[in-house]
Amino acid sequence: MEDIIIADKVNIYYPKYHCIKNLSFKVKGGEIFSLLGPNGSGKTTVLRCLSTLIYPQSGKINIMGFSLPEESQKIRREIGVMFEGGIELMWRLTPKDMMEYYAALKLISRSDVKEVTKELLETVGLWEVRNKKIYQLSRGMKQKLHLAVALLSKPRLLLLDEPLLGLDIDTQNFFVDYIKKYAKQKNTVIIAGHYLHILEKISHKVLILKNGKKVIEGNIKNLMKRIKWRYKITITLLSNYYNYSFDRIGDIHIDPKNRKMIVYVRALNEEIFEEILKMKKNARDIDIRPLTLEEAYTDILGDIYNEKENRK
Amino acid sequence: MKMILRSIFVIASKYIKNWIQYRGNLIGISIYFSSIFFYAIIMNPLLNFEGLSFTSYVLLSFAIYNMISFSLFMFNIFHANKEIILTLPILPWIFALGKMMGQLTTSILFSSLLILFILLSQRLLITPYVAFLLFISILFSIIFSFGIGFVMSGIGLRYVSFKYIPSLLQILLLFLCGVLSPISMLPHGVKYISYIIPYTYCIDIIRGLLLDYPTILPFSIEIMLIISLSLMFFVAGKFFLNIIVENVRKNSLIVLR
Repeated sequence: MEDIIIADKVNIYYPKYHCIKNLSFKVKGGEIFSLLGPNGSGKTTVLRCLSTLIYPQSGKINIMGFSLPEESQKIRREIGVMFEGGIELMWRLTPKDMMEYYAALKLISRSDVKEVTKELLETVGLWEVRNKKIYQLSRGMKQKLHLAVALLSKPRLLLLDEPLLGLDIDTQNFFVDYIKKYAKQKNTVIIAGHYLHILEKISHKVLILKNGKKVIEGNIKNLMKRIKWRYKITITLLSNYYNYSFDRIGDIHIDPKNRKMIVYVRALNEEIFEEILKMKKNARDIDIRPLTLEEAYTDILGDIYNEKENRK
Repeated sequence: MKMILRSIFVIASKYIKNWIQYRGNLIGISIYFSSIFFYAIIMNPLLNFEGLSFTSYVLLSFAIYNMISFSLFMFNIFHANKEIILTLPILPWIFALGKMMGQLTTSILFSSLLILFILLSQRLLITPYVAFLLFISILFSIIFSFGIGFVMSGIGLRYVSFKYIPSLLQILLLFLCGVLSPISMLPHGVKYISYIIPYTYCIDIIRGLLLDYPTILPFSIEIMLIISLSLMFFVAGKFFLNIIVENVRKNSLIVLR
């Protein structure tokens, strides 16, 4: 697949600080690409830039063969955007009205509007409530309407900023399934978010940012290879007796307040299970599970970022 | 062109539909007009014009002022939606114009009813010549308002604290354009500002036509001034909005939520 987005040494300055620093990355067509990082790392700024809301002050961005900012108007016709704050929804109108309104803003021809509106409202499951007022819709329904609006122009590139924020499990599952289905149709999706356990399952590639700098970019599997610890063992104790022999095989974190001992290990082997068995009498609960991307990414941020800074 | 006009029509019609369905707007309009009635009634014994009561004159002026100065709060709508509007293919000034058309229509709906009520209650005879002059002066004052709306939208995009300014500006314009008091009563230096505001000539023409009051300049010159100033402000406003949109994009100066 060809590269849909090529960003090369991009710098974005806000009035009082340097937000994005020399950022370069590539996204291929049909990929689900996740932008991760702590608050203030620059994820949303990258999305704002890709959506043509702001332009880079230096560096080059090419989106679907069009360069930014010179061909920004052509880019706008090819993308669908869903920002965290959502879109303007006029509360006394209906989802159908809102689709017609945004179709006009997206310069979609009148003959296509009816058909596209029906198709998209059915896709997101809002056709049944098409004549209800916006204020009567739930948060999940409104978020689905935002998605339908983003898809109005049948974009090849979909940019989503925290699309799952505040949604219930069912709506989250709907979004995840839809994003997967959408990418399978050779479309590209870029998601910025914190719901790492979900992004881990759907993303092909991840870009982790910290303080506007790229910490790591790669596919999920490769990223997992760079992680020092792969499993998390949480032991809830009955007394304040801690087994420090875990120190030999992993990384121990003790939470005396909750009488918890958290051990990060590379692999689950006999030695570890022997140590766990020693703790059995003093343990109220033992939980063993693989690290989530969230935990892994904290690990990566801690180690790789420090490594880079030290090298400087 | 067809697509642009359709976009403006859809934006305006959805705005109107949403506006009409919100009861708070009707209550707000009632309070607004009641306060104007109250002002007009208490001032009536103090000032009286021949042929048209002061009450009717105040009501008429306010109705027309309300109709033409609708764009002052344009920046609010633009500011609330900039994050999405600036990522859509529609040009920002077309979006702004569509929203202003919606605002204008809702202003006109109530202002027209008030104007009609005054004309009928005073049994004023409007000749075709008077109607034509009134129509032209109101139409071009509205075009001036579009220009002001573009400027407001541009500034609102850049400075979030600007939201407090339009209310002050509206009060200032109210004095400057002579709705509340004739221009001759303004301080000497301030008069020059009044002379570049088309509303001044619009109000002056209404006063001259309906009250037989002496106008600042002959009608024909005032009409020419309204047309030229309004078109100039419209073009300059559109240009200003485009420039500021590009500028804030290039320098990441867009005030975001």
